[in-house]
Amino acid sequence: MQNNSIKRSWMEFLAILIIVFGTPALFRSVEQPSFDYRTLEELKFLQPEYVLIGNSMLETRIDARHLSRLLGGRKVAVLHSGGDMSSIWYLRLKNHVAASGSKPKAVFIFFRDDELTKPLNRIRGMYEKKIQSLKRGEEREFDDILEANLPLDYKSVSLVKNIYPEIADAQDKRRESLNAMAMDPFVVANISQLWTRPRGKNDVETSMLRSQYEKDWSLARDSFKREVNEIFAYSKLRKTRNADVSKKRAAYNYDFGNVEKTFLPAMIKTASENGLKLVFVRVQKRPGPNGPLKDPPSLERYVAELRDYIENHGMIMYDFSGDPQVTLEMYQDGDHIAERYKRAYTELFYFRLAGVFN
Amino acid sequence: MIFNSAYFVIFLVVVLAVYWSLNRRSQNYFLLVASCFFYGFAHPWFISLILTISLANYFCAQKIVGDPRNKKIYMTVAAVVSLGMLSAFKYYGFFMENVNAIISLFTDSQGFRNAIKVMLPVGISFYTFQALSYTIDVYRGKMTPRKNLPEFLLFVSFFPQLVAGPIERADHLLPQIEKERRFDIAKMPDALFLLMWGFFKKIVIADNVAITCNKVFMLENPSFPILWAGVFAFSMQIYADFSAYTDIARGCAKMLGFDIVRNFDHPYVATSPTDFWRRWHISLSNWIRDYVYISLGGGRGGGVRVAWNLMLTFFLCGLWHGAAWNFVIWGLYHGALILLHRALRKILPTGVLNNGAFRMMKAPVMFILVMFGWLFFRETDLSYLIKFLALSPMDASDFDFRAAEYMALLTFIYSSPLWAHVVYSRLREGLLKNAGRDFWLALKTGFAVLMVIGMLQFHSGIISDFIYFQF
Repeated sequence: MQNNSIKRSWMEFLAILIIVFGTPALFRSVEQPSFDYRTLEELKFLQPEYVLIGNSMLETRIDARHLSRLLGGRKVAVLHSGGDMSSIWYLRLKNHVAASGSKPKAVFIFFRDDELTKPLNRIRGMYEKKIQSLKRGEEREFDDILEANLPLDYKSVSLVKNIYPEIADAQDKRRESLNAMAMDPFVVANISQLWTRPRGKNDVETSMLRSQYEKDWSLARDSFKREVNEIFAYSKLRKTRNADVSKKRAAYNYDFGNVEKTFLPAMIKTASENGLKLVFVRVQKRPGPNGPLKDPPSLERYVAELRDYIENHGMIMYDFSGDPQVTLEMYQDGDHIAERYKRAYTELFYFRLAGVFN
Repeated sequence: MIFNSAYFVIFLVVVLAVYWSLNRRSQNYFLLVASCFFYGFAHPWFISLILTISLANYFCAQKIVGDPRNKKIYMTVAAVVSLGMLSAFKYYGFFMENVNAIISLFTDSQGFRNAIKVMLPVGISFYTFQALSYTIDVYRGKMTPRKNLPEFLLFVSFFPQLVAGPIERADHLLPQIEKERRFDIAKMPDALFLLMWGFFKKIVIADNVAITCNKVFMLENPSFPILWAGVFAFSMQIYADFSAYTDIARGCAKMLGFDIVRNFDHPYVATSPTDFWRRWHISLSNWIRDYVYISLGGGRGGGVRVAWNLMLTFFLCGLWHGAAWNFVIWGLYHGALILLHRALRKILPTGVLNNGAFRMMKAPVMFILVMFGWLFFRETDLSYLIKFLALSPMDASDFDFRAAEYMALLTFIYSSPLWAHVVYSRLREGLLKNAGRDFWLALKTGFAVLMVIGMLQFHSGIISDFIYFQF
């Protein structure tokens, strides 16, 4: 009897394990995003002479049209989206720029501090889909670099995502839905809008009214989000917090030692194999009230080693840090340049890198 | 090593696999080694601290019984070593800050500006109290001193509850260490559910509401509604975070054949300040009641004497939480609430507080009072605290109110499983108390599936320490 009871308990426990951890794994209808052929085709068509790759640091600094005018009409392509890091820059360089066969005279990559040698920056969450859309088939070199760097926690997260792809991939959508659920009662003009939808005289009218309704609601949500973000704008944060950030930066150990395990060598190799000249542009971080902030000693050493590495491999590095013409008033939030100074910054970029353009 | 990491999962699986293949004595030795590994994972030198405190209490307890004429001396030695080490690591910086502040009031001197900065070893507040409670119980004749050093060391360093409690009593945990433990598969489902509930509370609830709370407390000048939306978020965060740790600890302990005390009993449905402290951090409040409040005289003596005992007890309770004045203020605030409640019960006619509208309002009012107290707990800078207390809702814009309501609703949505758990517990004890074991197993399995999906879809993406690690 006791044996039967133990047997039953074991069966129960195993059944629980299978149900609890197995049920979510049944959701498997995940569509991987397809490769971004559109950008590739655009580059093939445009045949740019200069390509700029980066994230919002690039986006807020360079006006591509204005740069093209300064270059006497020469074609300029800018590849960026907010938050991109070295993993995405590498894939853009390899699968868009090099693959397009356009052979630009120079490819500029905009970065901050040690972003070029941080391969694990922004490879999760919303960036996963972007990375997937930039991969063409099997990317052995890309995967090898991540594998060499992924600590146990990242590897275990990858394992979990492989077991539960549908559920894990829906994370951003679900969190956004929850956020919308909390926001909507304060966005709509009339609370009944939360559970009613407009109806027209016929299906076509209903469809048009609802489409407009969704658009208006989406705009109202975006506006509400912007106003909420404004409450937490950088300028409204505690000064002590900013001081803490500076202290942390000063204490941080910038390490160039593991460069071979990063995307930097892979970028240089891709460029060399395709006859491309890479220009790595280090942007200046937000200055203090008395001028540009001095790099802490370990960052100074890191930047010196980075420059040596890049130049020893036949590429170029330009550092905007300490540039007296990049002043505090040009900055918007964080390290972004304000829209009204974008042209001025583009001109400064053109003049500072005249040697590359001529 | 933190619970919410892959390293801990691997550690736990290995420990379980080896542990259940050993006999009792070997199990204890193995657990002791595993606990040392767990605690010393980030900083191996921490082990020397826990060893010092454990040895001091172990030998002093033996001497208390072996040499009863000098038992006061041995008790004092144990207390001085334990509390001395706790003070040195936890309160030295606070002490020097205040000394410097006093010096600068009377002179132009900078004071001791170059005083060394001391690192706070994680969990020291918990295991110090745990070890000391053993010695006090021996001193009071409640238990006999142990003669097995490894088992005593395991009692102090038992890894599931080492870093953030619950603070176990010797008469509860030591007998479990000393007796035979056999693997019981029938207990594993409950252990698993406890673990999962703990991880869910940490990963989904605490870490998500922390985003709102941290944003608010980074502001230089939050408006009134924004501030209180942040405090509400913190109220949910601290409860979810701390109770998550306890549940993970209890689940791990259960898997090892141990039963650890509950540390929380739905504190946010408390109907009075005293009730709150019967439900919140139960192991600490019991410790402070038994070893501080009662030692001071407890409820004996006149009104002033009792009030003094209570306020001193809560002063120490606040100080235990952190070496900063805001924690002391928080402790005193709760002491004052208890005094006020006792006074109200004396002044108001009998039974008034248990009738009609009063009865319905007790829990919501108590929640608001507790939430107000969390402001003192969260804001460590006194200058900001004073500024926040002076904020007026009249100065806030309409949009501030709307934004705060949105943030509060988001916090409520994330923390709704906590409120649902109250309903679940009430049903289990009430309407559905006669439901069979299979029913509860099926229900909990269903909840566990939802928790797995919840953790996968709603985790914040940030791996953060548990709040009570800083104590």
